[in-house]
Amino acid sequence: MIAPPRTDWPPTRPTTLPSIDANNDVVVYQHPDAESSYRQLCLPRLEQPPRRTRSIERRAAPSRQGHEGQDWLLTNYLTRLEAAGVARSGFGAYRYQLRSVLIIAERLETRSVSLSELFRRPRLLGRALVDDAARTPGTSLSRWTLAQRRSAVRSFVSLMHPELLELLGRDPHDVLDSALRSVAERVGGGYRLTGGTPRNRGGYVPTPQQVRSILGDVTREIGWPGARNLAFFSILRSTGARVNALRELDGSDCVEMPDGTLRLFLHEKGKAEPREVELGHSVSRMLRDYIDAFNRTARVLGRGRPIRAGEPGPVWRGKSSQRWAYDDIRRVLASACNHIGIEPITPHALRRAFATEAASALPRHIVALAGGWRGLERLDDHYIHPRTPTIWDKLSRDEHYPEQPATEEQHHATTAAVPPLR
Amino acid sequence: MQQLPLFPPSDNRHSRTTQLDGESETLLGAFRSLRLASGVSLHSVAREVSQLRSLARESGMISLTQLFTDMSTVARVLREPRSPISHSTSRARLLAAQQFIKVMGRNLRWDPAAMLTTLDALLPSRPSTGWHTAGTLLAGSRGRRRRRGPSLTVSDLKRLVDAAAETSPDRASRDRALVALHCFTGLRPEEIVTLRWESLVNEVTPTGTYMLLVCVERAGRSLRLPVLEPAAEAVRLFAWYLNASIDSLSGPVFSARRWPEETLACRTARDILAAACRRAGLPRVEAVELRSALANWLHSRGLSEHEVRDTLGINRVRSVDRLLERHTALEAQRRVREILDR
Repeated sequence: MIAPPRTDWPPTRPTTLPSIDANNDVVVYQHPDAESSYRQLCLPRLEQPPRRTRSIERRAAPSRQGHEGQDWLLTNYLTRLEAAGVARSGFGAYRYQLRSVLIIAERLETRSVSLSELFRRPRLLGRALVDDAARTPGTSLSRWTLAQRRSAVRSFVSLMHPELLELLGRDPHDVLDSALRSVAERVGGGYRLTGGTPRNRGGYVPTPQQVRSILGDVTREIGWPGARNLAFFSILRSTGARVNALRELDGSDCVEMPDGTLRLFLHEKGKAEPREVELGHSVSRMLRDYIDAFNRTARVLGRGRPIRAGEPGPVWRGKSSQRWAYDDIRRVLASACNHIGIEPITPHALRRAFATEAASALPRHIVALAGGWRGLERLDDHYIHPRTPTIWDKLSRDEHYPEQPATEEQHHATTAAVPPLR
Repeated sequence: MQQLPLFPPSDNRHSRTTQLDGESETLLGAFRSLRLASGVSLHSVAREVSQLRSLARESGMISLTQLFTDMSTVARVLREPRSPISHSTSRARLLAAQQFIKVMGRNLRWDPAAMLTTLDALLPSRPSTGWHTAGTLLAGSRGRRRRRGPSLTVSDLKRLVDAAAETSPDRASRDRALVALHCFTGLRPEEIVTLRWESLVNEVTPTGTYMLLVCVERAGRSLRLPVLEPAAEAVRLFAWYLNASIDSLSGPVFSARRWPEETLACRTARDILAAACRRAGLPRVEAVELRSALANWLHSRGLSEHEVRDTLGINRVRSVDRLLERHTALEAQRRVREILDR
């Protein structure tokens, strides 16, 4: 008889922060209620292994079922959050952040802490909210992550207000405010939270020539994958769409218009309604070419559901005819960059290129409307990176310079004709 | 403190046919009469009664008296509905519950103020931003659930009107007029199907030309909306098909085929519009997309947002902004595309 597999060990998430042994070789995860420990081999002599970091973080991510099962406040909160119609990604983020707060509080107290206890001790709550120690040793969380953690806790307090009010005997919003003020710095008439590393803004912006070279190179793959790559990256370049919004495009969100263009309804992050994007004739043709090529191959091979505009089903397919994976998109782009001899860029760099190139010739509010930015702040700070050659090119245009008098006499003659200001 | 119970197991979890007991039906009847007597519109009262029934159904109770004496159950239904609902539905439920407590509380010897305070305390809330808001949070998604159609241009509207006439000869002029009124007037679908010939008047405009106007009552206001030329022409053709002029006709413009004195059903009008979309090669669109396209066309002809508002009979200019929002974004996309394609 085969024994049922243990679900609690090895842990999917370590219950304490990993500690590195003396030789810097092994990360040790200690389970609080077990004698044994879970050891993971590190790459030697590398503090942050480039490819392993992500997987370590994922493994270290708080995914313990116990908190939800034990903490009825958390369970009820998640029920209400779902009833409030929060998007799947937002729901996951808030759940993650609340679990993180509990785990940090446990680490600070070196014992199990429930949410009700956490709110009875505002000082501990405040410390857990501003703790910026990341699970990857030697790194700290960004301010953005800490802000999201505070938003999650504020949302928790709002939705569980009746229960917390009864539990604490005073307004839980006041408790949260006092918790935050206990760890904040008093500045002028307000408070300022410390901790967290400033978030990096933007990144490399490829030049138009580089983008054109990339688009020319991604078609190297034979068959429908080449057509797919060209259509996908051309849409990213010409619409400034977010990569995941485009990647998750469904056939039912593609509409063919009588004039031959295609309209896509992209579900972008942070937006309740999909954004309507119009493809030009050339890009529409590329998308149709890809769909035709894929359907032809699928019919010949007898596998893979065909792609049809207006009907449900993923539009962008990978090798297994499933939805195209993000990692694969990055790989294709990185391969093209390597091939043409530039530093690998992420797909999001094409959104920056879109913003930069468009803002060079059009007012920013037009660019914001076209790319789906709400307001100009994010667009200005993160996406538009003016290029020095463009600036010099514009400055060197002759018509921008007024005619200058050649000699001093001519200069005096010119100024003498102008009546003095009174 | 005890954990608040979640939904109790119920056999009729998905049933929509929970009947209220006789006493509750009497209470609902009295509530309806009192609300109507206080000058509330029939539509609002019908919605409140419907939401009160929903509250009872969600709670699994058949007695409204029993439900409202247990405010924690009312709060639970408002906080955690069984099936996903929109935020506006959730708000309508809270409003209905509050009105019921206020109106019927005195007759049932309740203390309405205390009950409303209890209900507020049992609902989630965020910090209040002023004296005028309690900061109460309700369940329900704020996003739009229905799929929206693409933004249309005026040529798409004309194509739709022409496609509506591509049907059997006895219905062609009627369907064309119906779709044209959807496309080229500010009338709402429910106003179009209940439109009467007496509401259509030919008047001399300040420019000295005749224009067809339509008189409608909207939210207690009497409006005279212009019927733009493509729609006016379609209506005149329909009247001509009936061997009469617009001024000489009376009764409903669009009547049911079997009962000429009855107005056309909303569903039939929707089906006619859907069939026209199909024939025009467009996806199924709703009235809001047609109104949005018309607003964009008027705006592109030089009418300001306020003038568009008056032409369409809209109450707030912000609604015009929302109608034009997607068209403005598409226009911006086209301008950027021109730059990138250079």
